[in-house]
Amino acid sequence: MEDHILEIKNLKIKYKLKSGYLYAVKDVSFNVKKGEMVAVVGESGCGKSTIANAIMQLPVDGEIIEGEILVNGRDLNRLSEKEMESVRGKEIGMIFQNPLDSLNPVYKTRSQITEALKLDHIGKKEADAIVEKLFSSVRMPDPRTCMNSYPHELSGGMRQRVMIAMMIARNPQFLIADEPTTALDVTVETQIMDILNDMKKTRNTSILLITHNFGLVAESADRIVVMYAGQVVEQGTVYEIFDNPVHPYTHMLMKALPRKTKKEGRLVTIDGAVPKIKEDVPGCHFANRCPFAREKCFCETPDVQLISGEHSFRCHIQKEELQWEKN
Amino acid sequence: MQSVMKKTISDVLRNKTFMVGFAMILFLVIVAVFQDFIIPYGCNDGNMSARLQAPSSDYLFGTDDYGRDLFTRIICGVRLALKAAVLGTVIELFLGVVVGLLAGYYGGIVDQVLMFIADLIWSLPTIVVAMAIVMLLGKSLDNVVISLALAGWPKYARIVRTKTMGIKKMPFVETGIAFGEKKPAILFLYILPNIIPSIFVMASISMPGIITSTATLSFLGMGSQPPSPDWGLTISASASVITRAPWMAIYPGLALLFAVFGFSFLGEGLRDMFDPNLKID
Repeated sequence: MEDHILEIKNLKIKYKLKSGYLYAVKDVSFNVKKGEMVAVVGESGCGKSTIANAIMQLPVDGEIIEGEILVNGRDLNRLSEKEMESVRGKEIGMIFQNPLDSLNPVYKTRSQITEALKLDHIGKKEADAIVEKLFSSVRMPDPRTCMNSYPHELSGGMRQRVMIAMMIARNPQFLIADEPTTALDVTVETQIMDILNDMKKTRNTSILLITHNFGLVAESADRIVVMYAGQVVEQGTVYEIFDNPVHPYTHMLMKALPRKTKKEGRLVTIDGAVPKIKEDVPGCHFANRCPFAREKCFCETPDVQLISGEHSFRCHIQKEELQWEKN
Repeated sequence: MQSVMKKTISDVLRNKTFMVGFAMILFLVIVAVFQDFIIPYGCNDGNMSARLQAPSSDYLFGTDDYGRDLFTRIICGVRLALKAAVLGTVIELFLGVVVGLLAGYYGGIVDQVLMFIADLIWSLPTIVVAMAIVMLLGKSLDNVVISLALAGWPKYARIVRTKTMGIKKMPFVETGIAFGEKKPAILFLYILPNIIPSIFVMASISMPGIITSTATLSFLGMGSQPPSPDWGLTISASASVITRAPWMAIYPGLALLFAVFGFSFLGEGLRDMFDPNLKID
């Protein structure tokens, strides 16, 4: 599709273990349009980071990827390592979760970026100027000093900014942000999200935001993809998902969010935990935690039902039957 | 690297072991550089009528079996000892680091082949392997040094390989890959700089060993050949006259002790500084 920067079609990822396989991602499909921010949300272990790493084709022991990962129409899964090297950083950038360990400790921050800009045949002087401009655009306080500092001399928020600056240095059209603010405090989180939103608006960068923080999603994302145990259980625009969550898991996630209004009672939680799938058996993985579960749910994998436009969910039960008590 | 270095300059000066070792080696270096100004006689000047004389005002350490001033001979031997230590360590580490990096980074068949060769060499006693190589190359100090390095690199290859595998897994390497860096760049720009501190530590361990082993092989006649002022060779020559002129064995022995201790203290001091303070490791 012309206006899609990323198209994931029937993605299946499994890991070879000593005894059998671990199924991390089972048949996931979603798209990201140009200039759009799509948030992939879910609990830890649902497979969202696995997808991010798979898009970048980062090497993982024993990983087997099936399906299509189309970026600008090209299936990354079919590219050779050499071809992939030229895609990384240039067409797609990735921001990781833990900024300290993610920056090379022996180089000053400016050197890390100027070294890498050599890949685009940019000379040292020009590279230095670019780095300074980049640091300003990521709202780094005192860019000059930061440029000459080592990662361990900077705070977490500043390191994350260095990482963002580094990953946008080569002007990729598509950015994957894998839990970019999870290791940072709330005030810094806002600033980082502002930077990402800025990029979306001014550079028309498409962003895939991986997070378990619904708050961030509500503020910044255009569309949401909800994942559970390696499958997409619901996806739609941010308004559709927040106003009208259909899948039981989505609904319960929303209810589990702490509210601004003070109400009596405890925080709602969802009993149980996300399972690790070791066998390729059919069935809905959420069934054992779902209040609407029927016999069918335990033995047949549900199909995707389209609700409207881009809003769809994966369930055996019809939308009308998923009634919740009004709170 | 530089920031860690900056912070520890004051720590360095406070580290007594390191400073003592450093002073000892510095002393040896100065002696080696200014050798010609220190020695009262020529390195090979002998006077047969003055053979095996006890230490006196004319001959500070006495004379050897060729009537050569022992003090002069010892001083002339400093250059040889230092050369052996440095050359041997450089070759040994170069081989160890290259092999370790390649094995640890590329893994697979490369790793298996390289480690097989390393284990093969390592399983035999170093001196024995070195002697075998010297037999092939011919007897000389240079060949002894080369042989020791060829026999000794495997232990460093293992260390470097393990460190490389550890660093390879670190997040910042993943960042580099995500950025689009090619494989050789990752190896040389990301992994290598992070094992440099370890290289310093390994060098400090290697040097005393090389000096001792070189002296041993020279003592056995496989290294420096007469009339070289090599300390090991002098000790070897003193064996037949030891009851008449013990000084001929004692002073070269002391010199060897001094050099080995100097490098050992230096190394221990370096290890003290690098291991706990360094955040990278």
